[in-house]
Amino acid sequence: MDFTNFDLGEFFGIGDDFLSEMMMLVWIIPIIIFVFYGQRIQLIISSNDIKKDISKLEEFTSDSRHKLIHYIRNNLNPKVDPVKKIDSFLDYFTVMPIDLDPNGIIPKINHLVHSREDFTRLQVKSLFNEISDFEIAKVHNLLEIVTSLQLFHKVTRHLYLTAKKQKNFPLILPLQMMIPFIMEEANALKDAVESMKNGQPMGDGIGPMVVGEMMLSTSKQNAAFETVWSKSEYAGRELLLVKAEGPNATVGRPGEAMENIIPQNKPDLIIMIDAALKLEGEDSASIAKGFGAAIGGIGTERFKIEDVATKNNIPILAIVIKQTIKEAITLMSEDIAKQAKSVRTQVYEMIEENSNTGQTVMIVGVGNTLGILQ
Amino acid sequence: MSKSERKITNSYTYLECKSCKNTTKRKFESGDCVFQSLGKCSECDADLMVTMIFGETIE
Repeated sequence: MDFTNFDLGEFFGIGDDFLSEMMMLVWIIPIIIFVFYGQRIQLIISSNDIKKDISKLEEFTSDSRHKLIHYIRNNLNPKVDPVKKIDSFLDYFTVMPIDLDPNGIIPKINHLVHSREDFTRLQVKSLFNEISDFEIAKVHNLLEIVTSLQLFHKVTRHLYLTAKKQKNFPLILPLQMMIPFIMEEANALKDAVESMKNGQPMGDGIGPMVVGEMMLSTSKQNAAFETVWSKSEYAGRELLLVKAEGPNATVGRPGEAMENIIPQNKPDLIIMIDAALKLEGEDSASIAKGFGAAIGGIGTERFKIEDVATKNNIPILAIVIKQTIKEAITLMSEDIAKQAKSVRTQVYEMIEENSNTGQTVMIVGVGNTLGILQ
Repeated sequence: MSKSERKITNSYTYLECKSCKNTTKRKFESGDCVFQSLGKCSECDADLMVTMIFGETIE
């Protein structure tokens, strides 16, 4: 091929014949279109992707709702048809306390959260003539999953439709940034339904699993609502073991339990074991140690733990087992389950390194204890 | 169908003998719980305890 006769003007269509002028228009028209309609074109492209995700969220909500109703009808023998009551639950909302003056807001949030839990539990119970606490906790958790999925769907759809109605591209940008994270969580919630129905332990249960084995053959006492504790001994130290009451699908109330136990037993050290969300690039089921109260949730339990530890001048150490959101709320993976032994060994090392013989150490297994006894 | 939707998770129950530490892995059955005593060991007739319940994902 001969490149020596290559004509740049001819190539870019800037010659003086008719064809060249037409070629120039071919270059200029798209530039004009993009200057005036660029945002609208971007809005159309972005909104198509978001629309697909909103359809998926709607499908997830509907599927999980059907699975919940099917489970109640076929396994729990309800006294009335559960559909109407389940649907009315899904639309329940929670008005968080006003935070203009944040002083004293934690007891208000605590009261609100507990009232909501108690109310839901009572409503679930009212569907049946007879139902075990294990099944109530399961249905309660399944309801929370469907409610969360419905909330994701409604909020995402609202933001999408508002941006479209206003033809406002910048409005859709935050949604475009957030949607992958929303979908990750929604996918995890959708997959959690199956293991929840089967009563299988989830990744978040690693904390209760570690402490549960330490509690075997000890005398268990009630520490707070759906929370148990017992005393044990290790290398001359007294151990106070706390976890949610298994095998129910519950995280218990570890904060309240610690508030009840600590004033009487005065531990010298607190060790908390929990699942933690892994950062991108970190290995699943890896173990990390640190300081402070390792507990998630809305923050009220952590507040109580920090408060009681500070008042009694007790240091808090933490061991966390890293995992993704999906691993945390779906059936426990083999890698995470196999780490329980290693975590337990590290807890014992931590006790020996950070306390002396004759001292008391409190070990708290934080997480949902579904399918895990003690 | 997306890649994630093609994944199948099988759930297993892992049993360990309290005495001889002999281990058995079998498919999860409804009602299985971690730290539950389930039957006797085929080797030494001591109690078998569930030590793990976990999922294995097949793509």
